[in-house]
Amino acid sequence: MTEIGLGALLDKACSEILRRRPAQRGSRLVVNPDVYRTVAAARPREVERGIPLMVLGLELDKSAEVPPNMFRLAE
Amino acid sequence: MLSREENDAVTQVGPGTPLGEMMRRYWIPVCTSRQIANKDSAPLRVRLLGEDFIAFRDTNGKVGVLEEMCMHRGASLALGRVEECGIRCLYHGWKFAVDGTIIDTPNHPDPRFKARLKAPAFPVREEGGIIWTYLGPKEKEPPFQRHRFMDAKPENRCVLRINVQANYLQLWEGGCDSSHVGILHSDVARPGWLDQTFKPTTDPLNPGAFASDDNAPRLDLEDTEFGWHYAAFRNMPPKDGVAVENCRIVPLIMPWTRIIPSPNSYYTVFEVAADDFSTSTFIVVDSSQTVNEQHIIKILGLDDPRFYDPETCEFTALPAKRWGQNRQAMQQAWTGFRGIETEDAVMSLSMGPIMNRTKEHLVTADQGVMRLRRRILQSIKRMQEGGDPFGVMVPDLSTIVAGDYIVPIGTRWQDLAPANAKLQAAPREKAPA
Repeated sequence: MTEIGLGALLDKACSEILRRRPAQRGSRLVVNPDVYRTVAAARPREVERGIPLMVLGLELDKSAEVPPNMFRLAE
Repeated sequence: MLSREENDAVTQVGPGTPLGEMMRRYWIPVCTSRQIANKDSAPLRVRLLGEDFIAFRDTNGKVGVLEEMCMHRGASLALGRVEECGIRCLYHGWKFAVDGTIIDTPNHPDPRFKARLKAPAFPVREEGGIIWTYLGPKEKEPPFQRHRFMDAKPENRCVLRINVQANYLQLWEGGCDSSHVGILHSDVARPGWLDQTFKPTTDPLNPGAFASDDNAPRLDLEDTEFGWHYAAFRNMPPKDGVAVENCRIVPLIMPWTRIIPSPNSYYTVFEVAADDFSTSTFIVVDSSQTVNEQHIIKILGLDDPRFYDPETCEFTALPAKRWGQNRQAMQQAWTGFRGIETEDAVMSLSMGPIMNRTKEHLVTADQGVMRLRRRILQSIKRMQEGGDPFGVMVPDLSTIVAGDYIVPIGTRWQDLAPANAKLQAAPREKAPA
């Protein structure tokens, strides 16, 4: 088991979001496509209905440039 | 949210599971001393981490914890006769001492047989009104840990056990989820919510008594050797012209403990995993003053026989009856339930035996919940890499600080609980070469 799982990634992202002022938090949480797929697989109904995947109050987005154990906050 | 694999990893406690092996490395609460108060009284069945045991008190007052199945042919020792310094199986009369020594085997009188074998028995301690045992590998047995309530006079302490049919983590997560307190427990945390006139609860023994009606606490978290602790800050009006805030510090102690402060007492709560689907919650209240147990029971809502049986310690609330909710009472009371433990237990029961955390939608207010899961996984990893789980080698937990303070804005909360970050694991003694 690796420490950097989905739960740990979200805890880290949460710390970073709370560290920033509300105006600097962005509206998207960008993660590795593998992480995105994990979340999407857990929420098939939202995906089916075209509802954005929201995590920690931000819209989830994917980018291959983000390593699997990292995230990026973006506008 | 968690992946399905992570959800399994933080909820499954049986033998051979990573979490179960981690939990077996700690001293575990078995039952209250009161449950087997008398010498040679009836043995008590206990389920711990997916395994069945019995606890009994022998003729000399010594307590034994043995596997429930008689080692001979598997009948339950819970049916056995407790007499003359041991427990005797009803089926064929095999008799065992508290340490597992075989005293008698009537159908196989060969003395060499008794001398060679021993029944599966486990180390026992009795402290603070609780019977404790250790189920892990013998060579890894840690020092017995002291908690603050163990030093309280018996009249200044009250020990309760509540068995809830839900996974331990659902109950423990509630204990580090500060933002639920002012909502779920509105009737005690925010009396006057109905007409929007906040009047603080004045009962100094009530852990839901808040000095503020701010329902969006700001959290700050810090990892410690025993697990982690957090401060929840709530807005307040200025006091004597000084800008102040309410700061509640709660320590989370691996593998299932938290300390909740009330104005003049502490609630040390152990969410002991009986198996994947049920939990024994041990609540120990200690104070510098006399603790009225009936009053605590009322605060917790355990005085209602529809929900709680003090003899079996079972908490019962059936989904078919909407968990016993009183919709009529909701005209005047927030939940239609009464008491903090009843409200917390019903929330956990309503999630099902094991909550599916792949489906949840966490927000930043839930960071305590996220941190708890992360620390559990980190502790498992440290054990798998050959180290000790978090906090298991901290012999004295009695200096851990929990508290509820009104402080000037900008106060560094860690300075209010300096001992928490200083506690370190003691080195394991090496065997002589």
